[in-house]
Amino acid sequence: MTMRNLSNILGQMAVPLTLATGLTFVLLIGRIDLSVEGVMGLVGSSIALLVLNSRNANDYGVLGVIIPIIVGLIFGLITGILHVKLRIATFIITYATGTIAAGIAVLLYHSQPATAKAQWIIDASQASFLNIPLITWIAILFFAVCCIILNYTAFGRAVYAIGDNEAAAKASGINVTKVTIQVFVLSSFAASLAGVLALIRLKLGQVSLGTDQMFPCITALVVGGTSLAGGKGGMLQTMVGTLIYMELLNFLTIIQVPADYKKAILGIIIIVAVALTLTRDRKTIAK
Amino acid sequence: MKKILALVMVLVMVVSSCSFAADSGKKWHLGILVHSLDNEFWAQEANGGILFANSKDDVDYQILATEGDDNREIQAIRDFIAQYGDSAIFVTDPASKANTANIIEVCEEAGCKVTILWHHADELEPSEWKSFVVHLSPDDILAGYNTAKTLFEKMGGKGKVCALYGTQGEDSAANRYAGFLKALAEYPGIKLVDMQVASWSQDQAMTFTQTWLSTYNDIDAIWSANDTMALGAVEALKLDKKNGKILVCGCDGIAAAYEAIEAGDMTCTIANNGYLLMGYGASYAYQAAKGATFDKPVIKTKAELITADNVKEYKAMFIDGMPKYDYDNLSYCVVAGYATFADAEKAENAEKK
Repeated sequence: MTMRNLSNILGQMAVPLTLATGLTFVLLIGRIDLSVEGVMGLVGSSIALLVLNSRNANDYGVLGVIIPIIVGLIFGLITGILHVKLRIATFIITYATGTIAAGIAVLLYHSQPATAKAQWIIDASQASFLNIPLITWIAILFFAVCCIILNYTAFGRAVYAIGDNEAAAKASGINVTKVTIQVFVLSSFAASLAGVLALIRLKLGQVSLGTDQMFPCITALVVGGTSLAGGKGGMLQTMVGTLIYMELLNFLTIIQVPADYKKAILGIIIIVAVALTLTRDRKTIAK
Repeated sequence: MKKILALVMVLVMVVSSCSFAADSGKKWHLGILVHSLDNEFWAQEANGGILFANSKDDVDYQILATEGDDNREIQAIRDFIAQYGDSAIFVTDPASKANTANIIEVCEEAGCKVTILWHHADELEPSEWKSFVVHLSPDDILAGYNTAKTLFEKMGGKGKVCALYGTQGEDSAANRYAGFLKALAEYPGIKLVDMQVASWSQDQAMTFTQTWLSTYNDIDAIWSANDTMALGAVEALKLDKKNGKILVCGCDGIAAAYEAIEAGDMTCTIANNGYLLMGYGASYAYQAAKGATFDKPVIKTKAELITADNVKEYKAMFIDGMPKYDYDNLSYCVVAGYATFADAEKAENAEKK
């Protein structure tokens, strides 16, 4: 493994790591967030339309990034509120809000995605420190902040408590409704940030920035040892899982597995990896 | 209360759809079936259908997005027929190859004419169905061949090339790659170093290209089966300051690819021209509904090779504006016509060799 290759993998993991970090909280409280792909696509494509670009005369600079992120946060807030107030399962409600986000994105760019031309975006995509791309540093910083939030704050303890036993958490005075909404806002922030990073990486602002990003992240989390039933997992597992998953993809390319076999082999490796890393005890529920 | 609300909602929907059905006259109603509008090429297709409909006084249209879902597509066609009966005509970029058989069956039963683009189910011959007017498709083998050849010529006939493949199991991915391999066989000085399946994704294409750049240090060109993947490769090359030095080609003709060609980052692409495909497809269905018949219904359509030489001209026509076509002159879009798919396949196989 060359230094170059390591640097590549680190660059490629910026987006998955960011998404996985946000999803960790969601999985820990035993929910799922399918809206991240749509939110990512909406934020990424809106930025492309608001900064200097190929489609229109806009040039809002940093505001062009902040406004879409705020929109992303609002999506998380709405998702969270709809989930707890209407008691719609997150599987459905996040699918719906994600679809809305993707739909709005398409309306915004009228099927012709804009290419971001702002110099600072181009510079950001090429900047690196210690051979690690800037976008990865941003992802690592976000990851570190979330580590602190999860491990050293009342919010973090509440997240674990809810995932472990929601009724008990409620009985012990934790405001489950509030924490759940906060978790979805956090997950949407992660998705928005991932949208920013993906746009910096690829420049072309289209919905497909987010396509097929979520399931690999959830796979990475499970490979790392996070439980889909909630309560089990943490930031270390998230980092380990993401690294294993990214390394695996890279490895399959480098050893030249014939393209025709790759998908099937990847599936088998995932099953093996999950079977090896899952901790099974009385409390683990598979559903 | 909730139940009453739901009931009212359903009633409103039923009544409003009935009131549409009440309007009649000598009008043809064109159903334009596309995957969705979130992709530039599909939007071009939809616009092609609209351009045609707007050119006729006796045609109105509706865009029906299928999201690539077989059931949704069939349901949309049934609903449309329920509204307009045999004055409904269709042009479709089908959700899947297999679904074309269902589409034809539904239209045959209702006596509606339909043009199918791109895909077709095996052994579904237009000549055997009254409803199946024509099948239009750009020649994907030729597209892959032409982009590869342009790339190889620019390389001076020698060097190393990597290839980015579309989604496995799709005709156009397989055929474009077959065209690439055909060109490769004609250039003994060109060596294929690696091929990867990037499933039309910019992100995946960028990732593969980065891996290639760190694994091999002497690649001269990257052949990509579409523009989105080509643009992913270009982004990876930019990080290494190798854009323009390592040649890249694409296919489809999206706006960003025109810009990349203008900037010198891409060598060429093929404009598959959704305006022409969907517009002429609609026109064929319309003419057939009025009684015309076609003896060579399997048609390969025009596609333009875009290079630095002609990029300005085509960008003005396809991206900044919309092309103007005489949709009555049906032969304009035809490169080759065949009586059956079997004939077309024979010609294709000869081409591959």
